[in-house]
Amino acid sequence: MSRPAHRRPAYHKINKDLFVLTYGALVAQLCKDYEKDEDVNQYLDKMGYGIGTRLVEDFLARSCVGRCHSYSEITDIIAQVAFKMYLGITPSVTCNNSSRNEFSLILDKNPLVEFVEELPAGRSSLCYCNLLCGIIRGALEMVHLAADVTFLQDRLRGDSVTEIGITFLKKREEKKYRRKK
Amino acid sequence: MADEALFLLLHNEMVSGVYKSAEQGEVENGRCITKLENMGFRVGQGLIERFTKDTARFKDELDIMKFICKDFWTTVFKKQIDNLRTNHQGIYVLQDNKFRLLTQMSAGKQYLEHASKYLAFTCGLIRGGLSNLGIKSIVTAEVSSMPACSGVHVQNMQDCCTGTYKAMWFAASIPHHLYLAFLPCYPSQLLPLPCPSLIPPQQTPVCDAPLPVSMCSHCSTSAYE
Repeated sequence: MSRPAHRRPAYHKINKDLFVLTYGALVAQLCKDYEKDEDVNQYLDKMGYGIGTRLVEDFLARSCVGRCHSYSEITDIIAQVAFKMYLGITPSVTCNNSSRNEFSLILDKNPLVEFVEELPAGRSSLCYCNLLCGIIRGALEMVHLAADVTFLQDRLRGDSVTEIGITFLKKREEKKYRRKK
Repeated sequence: MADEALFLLLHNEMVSGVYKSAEQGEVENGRCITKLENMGFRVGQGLIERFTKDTARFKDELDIMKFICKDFWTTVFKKQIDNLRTNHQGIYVLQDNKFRLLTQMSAGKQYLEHASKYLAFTCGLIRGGLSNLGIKSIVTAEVSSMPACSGVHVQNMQDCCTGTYKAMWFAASIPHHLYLAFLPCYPSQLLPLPCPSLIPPQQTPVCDAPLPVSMCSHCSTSAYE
């Protein structure tokens, strides 16, 4: 039985500026609402989580990637397929430890900060793109992978590059089905 | 290229986030729409600057409205406004039969009352765009089960220095029709149509953004007071 030929529907692309500006307006509003940077970061992460849980379905439907067999494969797909599809950039992937469950995505170009010159005064620990961390975390959780995603370095905070760290956590032990004897 | 899905999901999350914090009692319910609308306003200002960078000067208000219906709407929502009506006295009714931010929702009447939440941002988008093009407006949205009727009292409102037109934006949805109506009115005037937000004319949008998200020309003194 042969599979039907794969047709790619014409996906409409809303102008990239709309998303970037909307995100900027959102962060500005959050900065007005919350005094502490941690609260803003947490809110962005939570929001990103909600987006990620839904975005992963869209991603899987469009990209038709196969099953992954290792964490490094997953990180490669996030960097080369997902980021490319949604943000048009391809971050580079590095592995941080020998047990191969900690990875870094290094973004040399971040479209979300296109219109941002610098963080405002008094907001030095704001993770402007924390939404991305939440999105990755939510998406991974929907495919049953627990991960910790944070910003290790951020150009807006003075570092040389923007680096997102993904740490895959141990899977929750699945209950083994026991046969009743 | 930010995909459409990304913006749609971000928009939905923004709406639910604003309303969730309202439930916790941090903000009054009525202010949620204003919050979303103000966010849309900032985005609209920035967007229109980028779109009209190289376009010719607009001849008149109708020209601006046509630009909004065709180019602006196409760039933002990838389709044109389906119908534009005007009474040539500052009232404009724009109709979108398949509004992209609502297509993901059930076509029946189930979520009709919630639909206005998802239009507040676009209200602000249009208002911001018009504001940077020199038109002060009040834009509201209405979603009803029948086409919006323009049974609204029209009164030309002119300032002594500049002619300003107040605008109203209606949206009706069957299943996803969107009516945008612009009409001159006094903000305090009682209108028979539900208005999610009425921005008083004295409230000049100020770029008080903590982040220099866009280098907006509005940062200098407003010429539209």
